[in-house]
Amino acid sequence: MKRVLSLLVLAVMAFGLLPLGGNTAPEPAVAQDQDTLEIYITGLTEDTLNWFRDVAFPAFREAKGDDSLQLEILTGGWGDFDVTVAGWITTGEGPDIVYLGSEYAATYGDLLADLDPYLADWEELDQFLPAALDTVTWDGHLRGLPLLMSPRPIFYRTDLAADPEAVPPMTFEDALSFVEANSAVADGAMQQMGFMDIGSGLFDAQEFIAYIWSAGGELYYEDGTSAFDSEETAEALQYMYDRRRIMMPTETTAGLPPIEGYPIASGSVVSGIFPMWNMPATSDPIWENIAIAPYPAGANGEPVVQVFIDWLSVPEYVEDPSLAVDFLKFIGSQENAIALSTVAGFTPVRQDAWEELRSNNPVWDQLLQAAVDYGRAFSDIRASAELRPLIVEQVNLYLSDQQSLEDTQLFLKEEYDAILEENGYLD
Amino acid sequence: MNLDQLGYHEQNLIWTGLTVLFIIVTSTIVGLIASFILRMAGASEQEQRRAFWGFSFAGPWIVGFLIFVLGPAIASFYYSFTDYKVGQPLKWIDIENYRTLLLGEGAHGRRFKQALFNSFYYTIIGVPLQIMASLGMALMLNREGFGIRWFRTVYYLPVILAGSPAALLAWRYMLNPNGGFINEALKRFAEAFFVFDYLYRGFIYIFEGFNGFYIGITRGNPVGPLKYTLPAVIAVLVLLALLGEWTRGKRSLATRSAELLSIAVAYNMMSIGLVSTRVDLSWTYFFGLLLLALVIANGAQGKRLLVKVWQIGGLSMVALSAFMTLRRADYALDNPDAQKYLIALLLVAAPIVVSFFGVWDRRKLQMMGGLAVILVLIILIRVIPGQLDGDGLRPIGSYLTFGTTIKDAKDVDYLEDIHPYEYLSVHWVYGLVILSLMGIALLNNYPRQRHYLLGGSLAFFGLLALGSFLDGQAYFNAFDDIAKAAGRPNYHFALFHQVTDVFPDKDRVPLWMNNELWSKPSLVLITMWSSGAGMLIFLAALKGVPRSLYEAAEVDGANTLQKFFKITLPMISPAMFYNVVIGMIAALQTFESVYILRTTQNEDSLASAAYFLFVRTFRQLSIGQGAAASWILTVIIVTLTILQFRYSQWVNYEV
Amino acid sequence: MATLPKTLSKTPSFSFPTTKQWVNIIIKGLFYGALIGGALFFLFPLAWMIGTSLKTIQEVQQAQLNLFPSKAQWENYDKIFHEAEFYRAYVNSVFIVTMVLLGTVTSVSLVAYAFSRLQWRGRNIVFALMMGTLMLPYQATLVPQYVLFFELGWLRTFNPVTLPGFFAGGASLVFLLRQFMMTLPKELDEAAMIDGANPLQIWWFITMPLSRPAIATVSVFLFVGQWNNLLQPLIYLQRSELFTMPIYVAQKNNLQESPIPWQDIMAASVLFVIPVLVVFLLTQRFFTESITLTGSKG
Repeated sequence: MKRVLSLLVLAVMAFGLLPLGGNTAPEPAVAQDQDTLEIYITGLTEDTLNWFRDVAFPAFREAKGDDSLQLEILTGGWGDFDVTVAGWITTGEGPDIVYLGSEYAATYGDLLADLDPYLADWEELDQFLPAALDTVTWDGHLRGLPLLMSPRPIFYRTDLAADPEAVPPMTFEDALSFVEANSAVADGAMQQMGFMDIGSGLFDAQEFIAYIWSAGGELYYEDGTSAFDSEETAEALQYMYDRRRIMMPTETTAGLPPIEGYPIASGSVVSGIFPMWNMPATSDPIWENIAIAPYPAGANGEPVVQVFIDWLSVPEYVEDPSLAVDFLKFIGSQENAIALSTVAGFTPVRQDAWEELRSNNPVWDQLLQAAVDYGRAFSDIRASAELRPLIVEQVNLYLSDQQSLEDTQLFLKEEYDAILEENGYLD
Repeated sequence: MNLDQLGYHEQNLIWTGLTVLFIIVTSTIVGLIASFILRMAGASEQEQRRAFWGFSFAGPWIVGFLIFVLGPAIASFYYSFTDYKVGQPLKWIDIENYRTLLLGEGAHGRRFKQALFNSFYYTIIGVPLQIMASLGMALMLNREGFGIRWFRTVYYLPVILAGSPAALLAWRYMLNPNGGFINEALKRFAEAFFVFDYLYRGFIYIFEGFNGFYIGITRGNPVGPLKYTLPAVIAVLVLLALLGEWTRGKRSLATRSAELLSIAVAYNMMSIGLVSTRVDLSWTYFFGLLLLALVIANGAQGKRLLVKVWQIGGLSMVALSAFMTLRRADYALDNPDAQKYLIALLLVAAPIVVSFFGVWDRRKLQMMGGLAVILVLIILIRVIPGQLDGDGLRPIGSYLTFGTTIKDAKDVDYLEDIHPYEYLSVHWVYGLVILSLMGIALLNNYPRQRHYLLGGSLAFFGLLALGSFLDGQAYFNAFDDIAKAAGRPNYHFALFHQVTDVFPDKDRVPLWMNNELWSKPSLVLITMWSSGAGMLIFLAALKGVPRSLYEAAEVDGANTLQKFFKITLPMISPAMFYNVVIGMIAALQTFESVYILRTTQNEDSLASAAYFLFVRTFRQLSIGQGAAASWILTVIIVTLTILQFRYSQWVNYEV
Repeated sequence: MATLPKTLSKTPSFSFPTTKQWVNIIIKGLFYGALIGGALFFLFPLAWMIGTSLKTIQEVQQAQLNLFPSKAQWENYDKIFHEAEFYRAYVNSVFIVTMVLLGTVTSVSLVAYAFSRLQWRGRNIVFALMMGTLMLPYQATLVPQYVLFFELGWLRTFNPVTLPGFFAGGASLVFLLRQFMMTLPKELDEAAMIDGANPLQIWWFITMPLSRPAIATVSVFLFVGQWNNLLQPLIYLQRSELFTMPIYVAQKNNLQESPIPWQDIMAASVLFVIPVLVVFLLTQRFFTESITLTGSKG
């Protein structure tokens, strides 16, 4: 008995001591005095964190002329981003600056401080992409400052395409014939995919919204109710359905064999939507055979490139946002935007920070051009946390032959209206 | 001293110190209050001292209970009647949350219903598999021998890892459909042995068909006449088990089955009745009858406390219903519906008020029984004509003669209307099953009549099962024909048709977490991995089976199988029931595995009730509805636990 | 269930087995074969975890059946040992587990003592109430507790995770300990009482030392439960400096990353699992005996 107990104690102690052997992280000192600025940013690499701590923070202290100013970065994972941020913003206690994804202006709305008084007469605001400023605007007021953007176009492999002349298809109709010409199914399994969406599956909620836009539709009517019953939504749904049926004639068709590395480089994917972190490095020679193009358009619409803007906001609970806003301006300056693009690989939202990027890198040049020509920010998505599962559920039912088009539109409209009502968007 | 200057750990240590101080002080206060109250009551000095020490020692729990359980429980009960959403003003909305969830209205209600269905799947598929596995393991390890202790350790090992993200991630990686270990191993086997290949594809075919069918039910696709098949098949199974020599064990099987079915039906009826906009008065009477039956049953057995509980609890339920009805916007005193409802409540309350007076002697029992009969008559008068006028009970007659109820097999709307999903007439079939089982149990001392009833019921339900099943097939085919004629996919039980139309191709693999057809089975597989917990319970139970029973059986020449079914299984039935109930509760509360294994694609098909709650409150911050969901969950779990307590005394008299 | 004779043969050991004995040997062989098969099923995920943690990212992405790589990549572990987050999470987990263990064991033994060794009016009612809370699922109180800790300003501190334990958290633990304390002889208490000891002294000097086996069982259960606990830390800690090992491991599973670095995830998982595994192997007796201890078998 005694022996086992002492062994147990020893074991626990040993594991307790284990960390002391390594480079124990410094105990952070918490302080919420006025001269402290807590910044929450997620998804940063170690290098970027170091840049903030070693370069940006000292420079900001110097600019403010306040050596005692405490600056601190909080990081977290993407997995629990929603819970963490929602906890702070809705309970009114948390960091001074909060990093938000593209669609969150509508989610938190008035819970974010109105920065118009601080930013309206900042002359450098003109340099920011208009779509990006729209993203951070809610109820006509600026709620933050854009930090980085990721344009999400469709990539086409010109060397694999059956008819290189047909690249890129710009209408739904052409896109369907493109997918038809470049897909192969044998033995009940896909051998080649004419198009692959972002989840390596066949459908994605953001993509669906993009097609509604490129079909010429909107998510909301004038009165704020859902426009999922529109003609354009039907067109987008029908396009996605037809495309799926070309690639997988029946729902039991098996997917591609396992892909090693990047899908676009595998040879079995001819086109698709991928975020840049799931594409080969821009120095890779494969880029010579990759064309960048917007999402195809419907009969009455224009092609679209979806642009995701990540931004920094100041929550409403921050008593005096001026210090936080100063930091936003500081980090959003041309100099720091360029620095961040080299250190962290962020794509700047400021057009005057693009020159170097565009002249040095033809891929980024094309990408940014597409964003300027066709860009539409993924913003003003109301109650996004509840809309996304609804879209996934309903559109999946339609695409997998489990529900009719009419029913799908009906349910989407009815239930999204209920969600909007519940969240106070229809007052 | 400024707390903020310290690190998190130091801060916590200081708070810990303060908490300990707080606990000591409050516990002492609890003790002092207790002894003070006793002094007021005139208790002796010694008793006061004892109470002081007792309450002080129990103080930490009492204080913790008030702060962390009672207070929060009251608060959450209050929230469940509001639309509390963090960041928005709070509004009292009566039972709106409960209605949304119980009736499955809108996106959230549907998701909650789906979560309950998922938990039900884990229960009907997962729990039996788990029980079989753990029983098998316990039987193998219930002996002394070389290395048995070591095997017990290994078999139990997964239990301590099961909830941790580490093990779940390992499973997720192994279950990766494209190149994961499990599918690769299956593929190699299929290549090496062609017999295995066919068996394996056959398994996929049947399994996907089953899951596709289950998903169809989950989605609320009408099952048509098949809904009568389920109770009929249950009846046939129980009745078959009752055949042969009559024993006390069989009698208790009959009563317990009837009891369980009644509870299930009553819950279903009440949950619909309580939350639908227009409360159907039949349910009110039914509720009153149930209440009265409970009061009478406990009164007859002389359980005074329980009688009081049901009397007072029932009357307060009635009062609450009256209050809620009058509060409802479309109900006012001059509204005829409201008047009828209040009269119904009075009729329900009257016999219970009467039951307060007098002692429980034969005369009072007879009188109460008479009142119960009046309630039964009211229900029959109200309900039966309605049922016969509509298409309620009529199909049953045609099933007995293998007829069909489908008159117009060309019209989808007609097909969906004739057998909507929530068609209450099915409750009457359950009622018949309950009645016949009760009847058989009551005819304990009349073997001939009992045999007639048993045989008759068996024939009736057998015919009903077969007839409704055949009509169900016709019903399903009608949908298929309509879709084919219109040249569109068949949306009725779509997945079921998709996977059963063609036999799986050669390289088909289970898609595990990536597909709704396989996501729930994957979770079941992972829970089976930790069957060791149930194994321990079975091992303890097996140790408790007296050796002498086996020895006596051996003298009688019983073989291994007979000994297992006649001695082991009955003797460990309490442990079995315990494991079943614990498994069901665990299925409702599954959280970690869903949280770790979910993807956008499978989230809905994987979510358990607990996960729904988490998403609703902490993701979407809809605290009001989350609280309502937690109370529904609580009611289910408490019911299961009470059943467990009651049935653990299910001593089998057979041996 | 086949009944096996205790001794295979009464004849001298060198004689050739008879047919019946052959049958017995085969049955025994099959039986152990089944046992080993089961053991493989239960151990396999663990082995797969360890094997994967030693693979390269290329190997991890391939469709393959090899349990272990051709060459063990210890760098995967090295990489984790260089992560500040790992140490932070480890320290936090050890800290939380220690605090919860201390608080819960002390308070639970106090309460169990009151329910088993002391006679007082109202004891049965309070005990019934406590057992009743076992039925209440934790979900019922989760939300308002969150609101409570928010009002106290305790979000993003360790307090909501560690402090509730000090209030004798877990009625099942109290029950387990109470059942054990009931079996201790009454005479000891009475003798001490005559010597003028008060209940606090009796608790500390007599009951606690005698209850060591049960306390060890409770501690082991608590340790495993707390080490694996994901939900409460996830809800309350909210800040990467406070994250515990389960959250750290769960966050390694970042779906956005492509290709998914399974070897890193599994290496982190192995490091996470080791303490629980060691504690379990040292104390597995307590787990298997806990059932007989409480006498709860349904």
